[in-house]
Amino acid sequence: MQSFETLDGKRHQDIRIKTGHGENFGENVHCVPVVANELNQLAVHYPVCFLKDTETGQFGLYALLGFEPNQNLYIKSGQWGQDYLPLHIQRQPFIYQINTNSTGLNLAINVDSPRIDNQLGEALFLDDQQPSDYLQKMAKLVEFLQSSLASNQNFIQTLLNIDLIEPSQLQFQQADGQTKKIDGLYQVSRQQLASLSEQSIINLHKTGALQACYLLLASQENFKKLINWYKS
Amino acid sequence: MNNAISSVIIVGGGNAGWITAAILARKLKNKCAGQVSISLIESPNIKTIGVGEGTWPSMRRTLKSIGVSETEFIKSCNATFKQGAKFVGWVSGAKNDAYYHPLMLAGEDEQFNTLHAWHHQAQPQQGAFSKAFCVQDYICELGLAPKSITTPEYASVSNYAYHLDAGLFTDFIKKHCVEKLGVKLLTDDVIEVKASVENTISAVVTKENGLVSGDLFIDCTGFKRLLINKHYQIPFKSCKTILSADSAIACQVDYANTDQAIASTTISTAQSAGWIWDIGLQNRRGVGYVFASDYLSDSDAQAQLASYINNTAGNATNCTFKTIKFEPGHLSKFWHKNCVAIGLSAGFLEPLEASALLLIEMSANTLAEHFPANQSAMQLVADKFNQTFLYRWQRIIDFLKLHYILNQRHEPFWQDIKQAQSIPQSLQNQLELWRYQYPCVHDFEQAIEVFPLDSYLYILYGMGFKTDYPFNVSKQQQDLFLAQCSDIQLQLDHLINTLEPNRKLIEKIKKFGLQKI
Repeated sequence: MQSFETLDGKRHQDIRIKTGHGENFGENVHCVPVVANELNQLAVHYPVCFLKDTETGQFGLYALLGFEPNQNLYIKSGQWGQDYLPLHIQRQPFIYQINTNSTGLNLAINVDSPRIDNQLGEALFLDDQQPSDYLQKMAKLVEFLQSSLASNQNFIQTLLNIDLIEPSQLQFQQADGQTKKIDGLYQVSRQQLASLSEQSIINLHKTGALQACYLLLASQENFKKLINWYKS
Repeated sequence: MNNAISSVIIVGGGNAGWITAAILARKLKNKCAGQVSISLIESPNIKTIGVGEGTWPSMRRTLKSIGVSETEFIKSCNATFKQGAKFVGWVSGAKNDAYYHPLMLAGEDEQFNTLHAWHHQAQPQQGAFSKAFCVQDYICELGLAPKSITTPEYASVSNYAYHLDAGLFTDFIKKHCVEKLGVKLLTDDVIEVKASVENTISAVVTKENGLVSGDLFIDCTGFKRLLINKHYQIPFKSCKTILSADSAIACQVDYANTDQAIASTTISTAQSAGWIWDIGLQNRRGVGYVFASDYLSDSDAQAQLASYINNTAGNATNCTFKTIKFEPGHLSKFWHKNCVAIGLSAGFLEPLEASALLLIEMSANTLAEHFPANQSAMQLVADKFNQTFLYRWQRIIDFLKLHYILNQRHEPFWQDIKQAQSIPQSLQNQLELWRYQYPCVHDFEQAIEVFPLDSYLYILYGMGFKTDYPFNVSKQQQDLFLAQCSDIQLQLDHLINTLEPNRKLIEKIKKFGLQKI
């Protein structure tokens, strides 16, 4: 459930945020939206692919976490124990929102989030209604995510314009011998990448898109790990 | 390149002219290393007729091959999805008399293994055939689109064609031809044809630009037939004794409101002396009555049409009616000397199965594929072309006739049109055969038939045709049929959850666009 309120030092003075990660925070999802700006960190842990939004058909960048609805294979014994968590997970329960009131932070808070508590967790404000260190850190993170989202769309559009994205079907044998097919995944086309003109390569390099393409391809190795977890 | 065919002149800029230009420009670019120029002379004074607001699925291939985006096409041409035709009242005219001719194929292989099992059931209901063989009936009844917003451009979940605004479509293809495909546009009137001693056309004379010479001339001048008939006097073969409709009254009908559902099929409703087409575009419906003037006056036809419009959520008092008279039939040859007729100039049939645009695509593709390298090759290519297209027109006439001959209606038009003497021998023979055994692909002569076997089955059995096959249904066939029934149910359950209403998808496409992949 989501219900956002613009962050306010007075109104949210007593709220605390529980900071763990796992099922009890509704993080049992099979994919999570990510941005190209965090691919350096993501690529080591997660397979990252393009998926189409079912409502709009538009491409987005996602880290794959499982192969069934509500399946997050990274959560072990209820805990998400990875070194790096996608920004979209880290930012909870805040979103970016232009804020003209006294806090000076462009944040809104989901007051229905299971992270909200009035006893446990990180305080949002100090006694004088000034933002806590925790809140200032979250504000920076959300700002970074916000600016990354815009460049993310440019990144995807750049790749689409030069036909650098292609459908990629994943299939593997399940423990019971049946073949499991995962449709709807899209990946950077190795062939197309290899046949780019020099000028295109330079252009892609200047915007960081070239590096992102290779990180995306490298991240596919993580599927092996995911498949093993899925089978066991 | 002394006598190579290096310059093609298309005369006439309607649908036929521009689609032909696009297909030729695209296909000849590689084939002839860019050494064949394509020019089109379009009159600034002649309004195009713009017939044919319905296409076949082949149009998806055509648009993709000439390099246009499906999203742009849908946005520019008020286009919607067409998943077949619904024939209302064609058998008895009774209240529930309706059947579908869907675009999805009825069988996976050429054997139609389960046809006998279906037909052999206790009492197949009228209209039940297509429901037993594909899910598209249900999809259309629910008004669902044939794909979703995540389906790539030109790909389908269930097979589809388009409904489109013919005028906007011509403008759209024209723009693409001129801006992207290097087709030269000459806005001018052709006033005279110049021929050489062997009577090949050497040039046409235009009002403003004088002599325009070329090696191959394409007559897309519509009913005027400026080159193929005015100059060459190639005779016309009427088929009015087979298909008696010779008039149409067309109009545009506003939707009752902007959310009104867009039908996913062409709805063809039988009337006293013909039938009414009803085509849903994004912003309006295109509705018209095709009728035989021997049986009905223009004013009575217009009254019937108005009554249809008022009974289908429209308002006839807002409509402007346009009457078109036509002679159904085609030329006795389409390619003579160095002149090819494509589009209305080649012939015209009632738009019962959207054959007009289909024939333009087929003609242009065949012309491009068999493009004569030089004047010496021309005659050989022309002979083959004429043979192929005479066969195709014949097949279309037979197929349109098939829609009429199984009717049980009482009006004189419907009684007369099923008289044996009006049925071509080729069709009579097929029907006779199909009384004893089921149609199969081997009943058709050519590899590239205009309409697939499935289409014949949809019409025949949709109208309640009976085949008296003398053998039992094998256990194997019975099992296959049961599996097919449950498979259709599974597919349907899945599609109902996946597909959205036609209008909703169109609006999403206009907002977000479809992806190429």
